[in-house]
Amino acid sequence: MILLTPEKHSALKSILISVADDEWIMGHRGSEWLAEAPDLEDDLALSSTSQDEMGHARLLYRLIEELGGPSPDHQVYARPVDDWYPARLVTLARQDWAEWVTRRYFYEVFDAIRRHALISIPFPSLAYALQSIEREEAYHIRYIEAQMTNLAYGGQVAHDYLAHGIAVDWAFIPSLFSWGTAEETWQILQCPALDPRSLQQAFEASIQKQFATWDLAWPGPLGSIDGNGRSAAKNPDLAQIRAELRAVRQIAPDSHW
Amino acid sequence: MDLMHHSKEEFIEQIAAGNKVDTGDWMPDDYRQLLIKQIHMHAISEIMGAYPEKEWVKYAPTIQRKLALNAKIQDEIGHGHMLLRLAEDLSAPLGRGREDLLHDVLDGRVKFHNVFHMSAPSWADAGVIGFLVDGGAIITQAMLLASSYAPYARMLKRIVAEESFHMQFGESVVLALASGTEVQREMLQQAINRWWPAMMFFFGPREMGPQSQRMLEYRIRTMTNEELRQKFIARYVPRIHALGMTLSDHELYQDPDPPHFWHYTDPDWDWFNDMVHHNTGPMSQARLALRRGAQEGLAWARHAALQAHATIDVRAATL
Repeated sequence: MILLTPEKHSALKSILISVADDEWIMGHRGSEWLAEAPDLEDDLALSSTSQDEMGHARLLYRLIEELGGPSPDHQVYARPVDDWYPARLVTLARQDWAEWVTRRYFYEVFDAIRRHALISIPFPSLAYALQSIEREEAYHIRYIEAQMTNLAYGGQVAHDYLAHGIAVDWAFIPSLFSWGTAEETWQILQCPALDPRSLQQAFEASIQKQFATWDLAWPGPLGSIDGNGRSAAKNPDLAQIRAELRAVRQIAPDSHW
Repeated sequence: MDLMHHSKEEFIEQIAAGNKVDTGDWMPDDYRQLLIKQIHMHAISEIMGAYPEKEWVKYAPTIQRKLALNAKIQDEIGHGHMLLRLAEDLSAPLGRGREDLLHDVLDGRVKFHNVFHMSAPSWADAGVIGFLVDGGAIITQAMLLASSYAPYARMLKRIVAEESFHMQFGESVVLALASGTEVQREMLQQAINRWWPAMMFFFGPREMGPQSQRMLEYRIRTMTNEELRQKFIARYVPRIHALGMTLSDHELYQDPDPPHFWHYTDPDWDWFNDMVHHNTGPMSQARLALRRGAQEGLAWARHAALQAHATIDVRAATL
C-alpha cells in the first residue's frame, strides 16, 4: 500500500465514501425498476447497469477497507445514517420513467467528469479500480444518451415527460458537486480537478452542448453548490433507504445470510 | 426435417423416428398452436417470475445476495425475452407480434405458473423460490431438452444452464438460513410450508388433459406430469430433511417396492386452477398491475423510441 500522510489518508477516505455511496444508491434505486421498464431490452440493460453500479460501490468500499475502514458489508448494513454521504439527487424516491432517465443521464455525465478528476489522485489501487469501472461506465453513458435521444425526438408526449424529469432533477443537481465531509478534501489531496466549482463548470459545459444537439431548452442557471447536498440530516429519503437495506439483516445482525 | 408432401401422417412418423422440426419447416397447424401455447406460457411465466423475487432485492441482507438476486431476475427476463422471440416467429403467420403476446397476460389470454401468483412474505421465500421453484423448473425444462421443436430445445440448453445457477443461489440462501439462528430457521420452515403444496400443483394434474397428451404424441414434451412430480419429490424430500426442516404433508411416503412411487397429499386443485385461469391468487393482481404499468403505462416510451428513430432517419436523409 502506498504511504499517504494521515491527512491525505483521511481526505481520500472521505472522497471515496461519497463516490461509493452515490454508486450504491444509484444501483439500489435502479433495481426498483426491475421488470418495470418499457421494454424487455431496457429491462436487461437496466439490471446490468444497476449491478455494475453496486459492483463499483463494493470495489470502492473495499478500497476504503484497504485504507483501514470497515468491510463493504459493514458500510452498507451497519453504518449509522449520519455517516452516509450520497448526493441528494441520487437518493430521490422513485418517480416516473422519464425522471429516472434524466436522473441517470445527469448522474452519468457528472460521474464521468468526477472519475476523470479522481485519476489525478496518486493512489495506485484507486487508479486500477477506476480503469476497471471505466470499461463498464462507457456503456452506461452510451445507453442513457440513447434513452435521452428517444425522449427528445420521440414526439410531444415524450418531450413533455422529459421536460418534467429535467425540471424535477434540476434543483437537486448541485448536490452532486459537494464532497460531503470537509469541503477542502480536494485541496488536501492537491487535486484541483476535484474542486466543486471545477466539477460544476465541466458538468454545465457538457450538458449545455448535449442539450443543444437535442434541441432542448436550457433550464436556466444551476443553483449554487449545496454544502448540505450530501448531508444525511437534510435528506428525508436516506433514512428510508437505510431502513430498507437493513430490514432483513437486522433480524439477526451477527448471523450468516 | 425435410417433408416433401407436407402431410400430417408423415410429420408424425418423422417425429416418432426422432427427427426434429426446425425454424421455417412446415408443421401441422395444431402442432404450431401447441408450440405457441407452450412457449408463450413459458415466456410469460419467466417474466412474471421476476416479480416475487424483485420484492426482495431492496431488502437483500448482503451485498453479494443483492447482486446475485438482481442478476437472477435479469436472467429470468432474458429467458422471457428469448422465448418470446421464438413465440413471435411461430405467431408471425397468424399476424401476432410481441406487443400482442405481452398484452395477452393482461387480458387473461395466457396463463403463468401458479407459483408466481403466490405471496413471498419473507427473505426465506426468495431463497425457497430458487431452491424449489427453479429446481422444479429445471426438472421440467431438462425434459423439454428432448423436444421435437429444435429451436426450443436449443434455447433451453442455455436456460437450463442459467437456471442451475439460480438453484444454487436458492440452495445457498436456504443453507445459510438452516444453519442460522432459531428465527432464521423458523423463517425457512414457514417458507417451505408455504411453497410445498404450490410445488405439488406446479407439475399439473395427475391425469393429463387432451392438449398435454397431444404434446406428448408430438414429442413437444417427453414425460408425464406425474413422472416429473415424482422426480421432484424424490429429489427434494431428502434435501429438505438434510436441512433439518420438515414437510407437513402427513401422507407423504414412498412405496418400498419398485417403482418406489411417492404418495402425497393432493394440492387444492380447484383453488390453484382458479388462481391460474382467473388470476385470483394472493398476489396475481398486484403483479399484473406491475406488468400493466410497464406494458400499458410505458407504451409511450416504446412509441417514443420508434418515433425518435424515424425522426433521426429523416434528418439524416435531408442532410
